[in-house]
Amino acid sequence: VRALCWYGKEDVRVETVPDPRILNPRDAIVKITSTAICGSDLHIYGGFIPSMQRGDILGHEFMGEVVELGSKVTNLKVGDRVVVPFPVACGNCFSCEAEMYSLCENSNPNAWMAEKLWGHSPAGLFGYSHLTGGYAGGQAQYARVPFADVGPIKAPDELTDEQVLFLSDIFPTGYMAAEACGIRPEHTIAIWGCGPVGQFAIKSAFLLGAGRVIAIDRFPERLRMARESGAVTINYEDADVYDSLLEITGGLGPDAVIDAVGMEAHAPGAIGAYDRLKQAMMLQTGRPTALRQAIRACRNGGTISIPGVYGGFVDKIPMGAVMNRALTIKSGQTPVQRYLKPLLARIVNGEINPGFVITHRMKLEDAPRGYEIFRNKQDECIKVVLNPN
Amino acid sequence: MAVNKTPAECYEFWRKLENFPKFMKNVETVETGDDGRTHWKVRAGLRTWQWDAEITQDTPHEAISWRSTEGAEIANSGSVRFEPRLANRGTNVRLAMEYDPPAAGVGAPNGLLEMISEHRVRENLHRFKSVIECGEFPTTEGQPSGRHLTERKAKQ
Repeated sequence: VRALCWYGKEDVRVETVPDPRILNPRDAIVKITSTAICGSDLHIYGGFIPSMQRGDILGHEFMGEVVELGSKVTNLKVGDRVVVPFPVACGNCFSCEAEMYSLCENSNPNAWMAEKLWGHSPAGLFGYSHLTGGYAGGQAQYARVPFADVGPIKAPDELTDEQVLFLSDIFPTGYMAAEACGIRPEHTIAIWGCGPVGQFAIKSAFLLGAGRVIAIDRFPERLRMARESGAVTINYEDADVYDSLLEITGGLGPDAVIDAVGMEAHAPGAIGAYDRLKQAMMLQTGRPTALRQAIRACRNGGTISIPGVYGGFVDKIPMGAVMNRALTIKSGQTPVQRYLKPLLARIVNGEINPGFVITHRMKLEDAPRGYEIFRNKQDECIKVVLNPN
Repeated sequence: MAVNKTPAECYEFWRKLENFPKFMKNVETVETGDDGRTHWKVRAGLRTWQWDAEITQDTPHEAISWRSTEGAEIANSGSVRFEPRLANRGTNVRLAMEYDPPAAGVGAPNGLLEMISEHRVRENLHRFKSVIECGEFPTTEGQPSGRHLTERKAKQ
């Protein structure tokens, strides 16, 4: 089958690889009808995620048709059309029973690696380095889905792929980020990053009843999309973000802030150069510019919600502000399985059409070009969906 | 290792030593003989090692200990305890294993050293947790990748 493989920094190629097969009784094989490039794939593309191996198949946002089932998967049938959550979860351990699926204690065969770096291991993830399992991903014609009796959700026939595909990651991820803010009608929520997760965080904040959402980015097309969802926007190249947020909120600051940027924040000037240098020298693994700004701007007693991906260590996090001003930090890979049914219901009810973020549709064969324009924000690219078959 | 099963369930699974190949990476078979002794076949370092073992302690739902008998190719012993977690939320399984291989020093086969490493013991314990909780342990062995193409591309 054809699959998008990673060979090194900014080197991804579509190659012919062996067919995936059932390896465990709870596996399924899915023929992929739609798959997407995630902003977090760009961290791998840029070489910022450790423990990648040459030839790894990328992709963790995918859906398709079940073509083969292991002997212990009884809730699915061959021919079912399913969306696959990006974390792999067993459904049996303490974490899964508590619906913390992205912290599954059994799904990461390389748990020892993650324990060394992070102290404990989270769940295995599709196509996202060997630290989180080394599972072959879904930017391919076919993929193997472990614990298929727990993860995948059947897609209603009347909904298109583009309406349900993002249940695999970015819709639940943006939604969880907003949910973590404890939103009330009088709240102002500020969101750094108007990429796909930021866009879903904006929509979700409004779905959860936020009075005002402020979106921060520098790309006009992304800010435009944010305004179309009802957000007030700040272009950080034109205005000081901290001053603007205080101006809008009467000096108190936003009630909650969301870092939908993560480890590769763009920052002009000296602090940006400092962070890029430290990252290049492996003295830190992320450039937390957006996070620093978000913490500084958040009102006293407010919440910092972090859906943006971090891999290892960052520095100059203003813990003094967190402690003295009683801020709460919430983060985590999304336990997608917990959100599938409620968010599918919102799609069916017409409260949201997740396809709004898609700007580019390509064949799998063109995926390397998709990575390039998505990374460089060329051609007003916000979200790339790939058709592999 | 915290396991989401009762001490009784953990004990019953472990006490059937025939279950060992399901979660112990190098163990090929364990058979119980008429005299209660078990016969082990273990694959490590490109060969198969065999020994007999006897149960030295058996406290139902609490603990099991075993050790190889005289003349074992790799003298070894192990013990496992099953302690209820706070508020009976599952079991803390504590495993201790000891090996006295014939040539553990310089020149011992890698596979043998791996088998007796602390890393492997922890891995096997994690596999026990996965097998008893999920019915299988996670694996990526046998999945596709583009790894085989790296050499060819590199030479071009």
